[in-house]
Amino acid sequence: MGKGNKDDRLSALPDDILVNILDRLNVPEAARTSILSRWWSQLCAKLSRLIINALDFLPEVVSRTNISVDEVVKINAAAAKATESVLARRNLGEHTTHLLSTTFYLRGDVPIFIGHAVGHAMSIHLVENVEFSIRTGKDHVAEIEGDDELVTWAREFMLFFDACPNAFGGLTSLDLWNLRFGESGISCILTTCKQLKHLYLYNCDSGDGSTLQVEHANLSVLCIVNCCLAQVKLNWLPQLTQLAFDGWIELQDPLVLGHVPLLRFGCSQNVRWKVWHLCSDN
Amino acid sequence: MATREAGKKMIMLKSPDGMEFEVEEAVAMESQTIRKMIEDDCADTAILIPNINSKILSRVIEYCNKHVPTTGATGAAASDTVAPAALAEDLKIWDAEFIKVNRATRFNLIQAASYLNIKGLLDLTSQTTIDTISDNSLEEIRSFLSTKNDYLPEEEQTIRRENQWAFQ
Repeated sequence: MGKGNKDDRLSALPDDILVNILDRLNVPEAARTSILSRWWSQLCAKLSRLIINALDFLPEVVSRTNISVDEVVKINAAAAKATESVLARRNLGEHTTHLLSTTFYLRGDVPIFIGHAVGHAMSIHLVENVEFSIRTGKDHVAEIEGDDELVTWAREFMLFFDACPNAFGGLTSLDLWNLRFGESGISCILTTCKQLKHLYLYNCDSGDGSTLQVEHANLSVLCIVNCCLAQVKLNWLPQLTQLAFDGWIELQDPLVLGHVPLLRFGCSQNVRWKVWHLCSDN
Repeated sequence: MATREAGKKMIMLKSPDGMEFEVEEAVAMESQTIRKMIEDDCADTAILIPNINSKILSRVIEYCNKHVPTTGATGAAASDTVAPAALAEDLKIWDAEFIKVNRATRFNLIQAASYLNIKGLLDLTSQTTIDTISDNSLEEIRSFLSTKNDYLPEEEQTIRRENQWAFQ
């Protein structure tokens, strides 16, 4: 293996140390280094953490808030291309990818494209842990124009979800933003995403003032932020260790605890501890 | 520097070039590798640290001395009066000074931090390399890291095409 010239002290470091260092780069940065030299290109194929965020493709001059529709389409397509490209260059059984994390927008056929690429990688055991963070392009509840918008996004999401059972079946972490599901939407997701350990819901519900019922064998962290829920029923979550709330509407008995043997604490802004203890006695 | 208090357990670290460093056990245990040796009772009176010369080892100890938590049972007096934020800021300034070393020393520190498993030191020593890659053009990175482009022109074309998405 060519190691560059003698002065290249970085290449004198052992590969495992270099991989540890370069794992701190995001995927576009790492990909650029593969053009430096053959040695760098080989190193790139060994990275164990692949972090692909559509926002990393935004030109530096463009502000991260208020991204235009055209810009979203462009960076989303780049994220899809990046995901496909890095996965295509992983060689089976050679270097394990411990984490593939992708953040992208519900736009056009990009989610399904990414879902298929990731689903295939999972089916041949190229990656161990996969995170999806699925955005709608609105980062704050205040930007949403009306409930119809949430329903439209959720419909868009379900098309993606139904088209990619392999990817969702192996996901270990899922972040969802601004989705109003039908009655069975969330339980459908929980049933399919069997490997899920982390679930983050931002402004997601099944209708204003609906009840969220959660049953899952592996889920260990659940975050519920700015969701218009009347009640959360943690029916059966044997692995749940952490629960986080924010932006809860003040209602009576918002939390019902079923089988949550590992849950030790919850942090909440406006769910009172009193409620917590009352429920846990049930 | 805090004066050594009576009763604190000391550990002897030896570099391959024969130098010996007496350090508090708590300081040595900033290294997860050494911590494991101590916890597994593999540490006798002296621990030989292979592949890390005395010059680098003394810098590593200097780092661990600075970063060892001071809020332990005996508690250094200073930490009781200084707010955590101010302490963190002080550490940041100290780190920035500490890492002002030439490239060879920095790479030796990276290797030492990796072998001794000192996460903070590995993060600190790696960051310069990460910044170099993140903040510069390919030509600049090649020059800073003394990397020669050994691609044939058509190979470079191909690899650029495959990674087109990274350059948009």
